[in-house]
Amino acid sequence: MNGYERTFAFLKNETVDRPPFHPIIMRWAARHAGTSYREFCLSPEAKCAAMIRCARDFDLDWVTVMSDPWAEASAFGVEVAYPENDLPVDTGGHLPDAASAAMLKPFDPIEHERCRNRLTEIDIYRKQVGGTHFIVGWVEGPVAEYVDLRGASEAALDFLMEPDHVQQAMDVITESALRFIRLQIACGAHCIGIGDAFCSQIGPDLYRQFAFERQKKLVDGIHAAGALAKLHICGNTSAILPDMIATGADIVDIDHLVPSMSDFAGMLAPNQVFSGKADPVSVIQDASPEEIRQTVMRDYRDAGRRSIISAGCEITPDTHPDNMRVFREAADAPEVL
Amino acid sequence: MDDILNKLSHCIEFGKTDRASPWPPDMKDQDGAHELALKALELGHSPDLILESLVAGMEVVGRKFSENKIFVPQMLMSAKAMKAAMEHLKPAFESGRAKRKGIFVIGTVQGDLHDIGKNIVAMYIEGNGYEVVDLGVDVKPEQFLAEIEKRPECVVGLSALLTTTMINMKRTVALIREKHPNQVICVGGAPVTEKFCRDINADFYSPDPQGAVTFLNKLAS
Repeated sequence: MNGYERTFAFLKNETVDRPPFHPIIMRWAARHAGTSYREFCLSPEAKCAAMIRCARDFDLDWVTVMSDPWAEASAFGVEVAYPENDLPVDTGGHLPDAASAAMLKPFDPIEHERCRNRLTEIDIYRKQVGGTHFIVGWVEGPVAEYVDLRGASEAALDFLMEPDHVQQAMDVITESALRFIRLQIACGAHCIGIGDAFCSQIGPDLYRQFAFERQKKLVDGIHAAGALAKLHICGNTSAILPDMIATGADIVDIDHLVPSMSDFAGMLAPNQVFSGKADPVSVIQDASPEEIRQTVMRDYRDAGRRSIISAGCEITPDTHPDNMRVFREAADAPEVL
Repeated sequence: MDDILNKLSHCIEFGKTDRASPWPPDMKDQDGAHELALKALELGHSPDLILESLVAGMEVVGRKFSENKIFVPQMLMSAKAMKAAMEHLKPAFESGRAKRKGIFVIGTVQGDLHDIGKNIVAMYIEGNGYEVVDLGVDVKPEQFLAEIEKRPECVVGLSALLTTTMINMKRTVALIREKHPNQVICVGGAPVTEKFCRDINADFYSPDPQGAVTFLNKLAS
């Protein structure tokens, strides 16, 4: 089975030779390929070459467009700097207040370079690994995008103080995301990830007030356009996991801060899976090979064998390639199968 | 505790900044921390006693945060309410009429621009009666050193959100230790662990702000 076949079969609950292996690699991929992070973020050719090389060198079942959260924010007017070998940073152009956020206008992805680049990346993947690897596009979720546009502290206060303005802004964010989703799927994405990181910090009430219905709308939009949906929220999502599952996302990412997948595995629909949840620092980067194997096996068992093998979040750039190999080989362990 | 001081604690607990604030909805049109702190001073309550009531409210906030009963937005609202009340107490602290428990110097380490965790910790510690010197984000080790030299009795807090920048904590701790081997250094942030704290020779790690205050209170007692 190749990565494309394995992932689709696993999601359909069909027999597979091993669980799919989908580690999130961004800075690690750039480093492995000897590409500067600036180039990785800004050049579709460089990003795709790095990701495909990693997928081949480490037997990954997927390729993704993930690098940084600033594509949509740039389109909404945030200024972003791209240091040579560091993460991009927002340098200005943020919305000054919630009232300005409520006046936000939807953007057309075709008119903005970072968004166009994402479409090019998916096109490259489709041409080069379309039949062999699971291609995942990406959009920012409503909460994460609002945070990108306003700043985390300001956004958090807006949620309580100016909820009506926030709702208006998030409607526009969701509309723009849907447009971007459809274009990515038309280019060849098999799946779209929705990154809504800050949701783990706002609690279940605000999650339901602002995020749940919009994430569900994005998932429904992805399904309607013929692709699968993945929902990624970093941090301890225990309090919102039942709702995350209820969005209908096909793949629900679980970070290592969630104590165990066992409490939630029974909530999955037959064609839904988790993806996670090894700690990228204390396990994948720093632990012994045996500890990595044991962690993967424990998590897989806890998930009722319905979890893609992955870390809870991004693999750190300092993770040794040997640890990545051990991580991948853990998916072959008899206890996992 | 006097009624007005109880009300003040309540405002901190529920993040009622001032009368005009729409949060929380069930306290609409009621006085907030700003008005009540002013009134308490006018009624003759000592700044130390007023601070005690603020700390009592903040302790409940910290406990609820640790127990996942409230989350970052509510924590920030409480910190904002605390700040509104503290504005009225500042002159008393600055003149020496009221005492702080100690000084905490905090910043995100060089290369890290993410300040929400640092802000929450800073506000929570300030709300628990400490003077907080917030050096902001992307703080060079030399800036921490300069602050330690200005305030030798301080405790230093290093924050990092990213696995890439937590490495700079190690460098900062090493540079501080070189000149001030006994300096107390706390570390925190999403990727930081107890083990990492030990590995880089820092003194204390807590996954939440309440743990940091418990540690500081032990040092201060």
